[in-house]
Amino acid sequence: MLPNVAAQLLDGKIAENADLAEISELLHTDQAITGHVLRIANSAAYGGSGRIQSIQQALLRIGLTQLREIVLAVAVQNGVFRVEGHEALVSHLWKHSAIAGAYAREIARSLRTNAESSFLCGLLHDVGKPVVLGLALEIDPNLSGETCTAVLEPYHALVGRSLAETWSLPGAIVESIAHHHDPGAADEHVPSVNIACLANLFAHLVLDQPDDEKALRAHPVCVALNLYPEDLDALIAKRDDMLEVADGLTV
Amino acid sequence: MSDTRTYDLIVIGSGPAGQKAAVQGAKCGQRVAVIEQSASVGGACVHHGTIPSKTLRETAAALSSFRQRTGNQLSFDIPANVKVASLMARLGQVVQAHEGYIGAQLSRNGVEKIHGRARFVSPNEIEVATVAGTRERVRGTYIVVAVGSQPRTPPNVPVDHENILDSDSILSLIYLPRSLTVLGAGVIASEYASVFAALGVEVTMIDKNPVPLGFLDPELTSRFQTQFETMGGRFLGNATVKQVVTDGVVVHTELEDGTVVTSDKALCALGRIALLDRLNIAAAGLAPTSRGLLQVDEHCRTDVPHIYAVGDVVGPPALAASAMEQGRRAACHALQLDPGAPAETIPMGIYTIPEMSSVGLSEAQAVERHGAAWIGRASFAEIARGHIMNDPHGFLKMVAHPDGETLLGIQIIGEGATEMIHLGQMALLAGSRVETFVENIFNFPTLAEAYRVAALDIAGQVTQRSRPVTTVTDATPAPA
Repeated sequence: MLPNVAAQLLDGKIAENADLAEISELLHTDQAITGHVLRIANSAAYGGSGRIQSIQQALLRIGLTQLREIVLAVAVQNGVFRVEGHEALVSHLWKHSAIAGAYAREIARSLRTNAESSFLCGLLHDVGKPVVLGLALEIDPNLSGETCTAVLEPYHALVGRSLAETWSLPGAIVESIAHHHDPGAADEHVPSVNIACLANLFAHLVLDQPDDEKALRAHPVCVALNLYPEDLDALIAKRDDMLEVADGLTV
Repeated sequence: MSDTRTYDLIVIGSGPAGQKAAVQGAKCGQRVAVIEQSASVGGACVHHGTIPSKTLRETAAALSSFRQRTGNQLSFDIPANVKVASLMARLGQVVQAHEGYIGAQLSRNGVEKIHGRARFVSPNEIEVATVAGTRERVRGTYIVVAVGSQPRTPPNVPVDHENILDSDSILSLIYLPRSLTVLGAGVIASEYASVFAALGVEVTMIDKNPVPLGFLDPELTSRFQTQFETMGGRFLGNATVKQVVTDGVVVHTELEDGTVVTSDKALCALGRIALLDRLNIAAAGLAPTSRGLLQVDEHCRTDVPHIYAVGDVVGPPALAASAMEQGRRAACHALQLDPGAPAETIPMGIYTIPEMSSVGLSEAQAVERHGAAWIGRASFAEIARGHIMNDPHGFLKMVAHPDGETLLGIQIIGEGATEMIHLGQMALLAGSRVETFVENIFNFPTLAEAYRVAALDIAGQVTQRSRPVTTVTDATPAPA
C-alpha cells in the first residue's frame, strides 16, 4: 500500500545526512511520485518559484524534511486515500489530514519544541479511515454515505495503528494514530499524541465546524498541552496559512 | 471572578529562585503561594535547561572519558543518524524525579501552588489567568518575582525549531546532525558546543567576542578552546553574524566579513530575555531596565519595597545556584530575618566538556582589589590521578593574597571540576590559609592533590621571590 520509495524514506534508513544523489536516485525509481514532488515543491505553499526542474534541485531547495513530507503525502494519497466511487469523501478525509499535519507542526512551534516530527503525526492520524472505508465497501459496495461515515469512527484508530506498525513508522506516529481521540490512554510519546489530538480538532474547526471554536477551547487536551487562551488565539489566527499548506499537499 | 485570596508571600515562578523563596517563607510560618504558568513546577531549569542538558552531557562526557581513558585505543563512534533521544534515554525519569522532589518539598512546607499566568493589577494584587480561561485575583503582602527567562531571538536569526533551534528546542532534535553552528559563546553556547563536539558533531561556534566565556580566567578559557578544537570544534571569534538562512537542507550563516558557514542545523544561543512581557509590571509601579531586567538592591528588593526580584529576571550571573540563594535571601529580608552575610563564595560551574568551575576571586580580580596576588598552578599532568584518568590538560589555579597566606580564589578546568571546587569553597568559607593544603593530606590518588601542588607552588614562590604578581597572567595555550 505504501510505495517502496516512501517506505525507505520513512523508516530512518535515509536520514538527514544521506547523500543527495542517493535520495534523488531513489525517488527516480517512482515516476508518479517524482512528478508530484516537483509540482508540490514548485507550489506557493513551499515557497516555490516554478523553476524547480529536478529532484536534486528540489532537495536543495526544500530540504529532505519537507521532501519526506511531500513524498509521504503523495504516497499516502495514491496508496491509501483512494476509494473508487467515494472520491468526495476521501478527498475530504485527505484535506482534513493535511490541515492536521500543518497545524501539528505549528502547535509544536508554539510549544517551543522541535517541530520536525509533529507534521507526520498530524498528517497520518486518520490514515486508518480510508482503509476502513475500503474494507467496508468490499463487504457491501452499496453502503450509503452516512453509513460509510458511521463505520469509520469506531475502527479507524485501531486499523490505522495496525497499518502504521506494518509500515514500521516511528513510535510517536503510531501512538498518535492510535490515541488521537483519547490521548490520556497513551503510555508513550504523550506530547506527540496530545499535539496530534489538538491538530485533529483544529482540522475539524477549519474544515467542518467553523463556529465550534468554543468546543475546541474547552477540550481537555488544551490544558494537557498547557496552551492558554491567548496561545489558542494565535493558532486560530493561522488558519488561512494552514489551509494553504494543505492545498499545496493535495495531489 | 472569585473572591481575592490573600497571602503573606506570593512567589511568581517555581524555578530554583522561586522555589527557595517560597520554602523559606513557608518555613517561617507564613502563608505562601507560588504561581506557575507551566503545568509542573521547576521552571526552565528542570524542563528545558539545566537538568535536561546535563543529562545529554552526561552521555557525551562518558564517551569523552572513555576515549580519554583508553587512549583512543578502543574506537567508540556514535552511529550515523543516531536519535538524540537515545543519548538521553533517562531524561524522562530524571526530569520526573526532580519535578517530583520540588513539588513534594513545596507541598510538605504547605506552599499553595496556583497554576496560571500572573499579571499585576496593582502593587499588591495579581490576576491569575488559568489555562482553562478563568481568572482570579490574589493579594500578597510581599511578592517575589522569579519568572525566569527564555532564549533571545535576534531578528536576523529566524528560529524555526526545525533547522534553526534555540536552547529550548535543541534537545528535542530527532537525529544527531552531522554539523552544527552555534551562535554565541556564553555558558549555554559553550556547553552545547562542547557536548555536540564530544558526540562527534562538527561544531562551529561563532561570536563577536575574541574568546569563548570571556568572563572566566583566560587560562581556563584558553585551555577550553584548545580542547574544544582538539575534539574537532572550530571557534570563530570577533565575528558578527549578518544573517542566518535555511533552505531546509542546510543552514547558511553569513558573517559581516563575507564568510559563510554551512551546517545541517544551527543553535541560536545569543543570550536570554527576562519573561516580563505578560507580567504588566507597570501596574506594580515597576519598569524594566534598558536590558529588559528588573533592578534590585543587595537584598533583591526592587524600587517597590515589598516586591523582590530574583533569578534570571535580575540578570547575571543567572545560574541556578545563585538564583536559589537570591530566593532565600529575598524571603528572609521580606520577613525581617537575618539571611547571614552575603555569600561571596558562591561557586560558578560551567558544564562544558571539559567542565570548568570557579570560586572566590580570579587572578584579575585579586590584583585589582589587592594590588597584587600570588598564583599557584597545578596541572593534572603532575597529579597521579590525572595520569590515571589520562587528563593531562586539567588544571587548577589557586589565587592568594599578597600576604602569601590568605586564600582568595580557585579556578579549575578538567573532569570533576564542578565537584572539586567545593573543597576550595569550604576552605574560603573557613578562612583557611594556603598552608592548610600543604600541611594536610588528601586521599591518594585523587585530583584533590592538585590543591596541595598549587599551594606548594605558592609557598615556593613566597620563599624564593620577593614580590607577588601585579599584572594579570596572559593566557598560555594548553599543551597539545
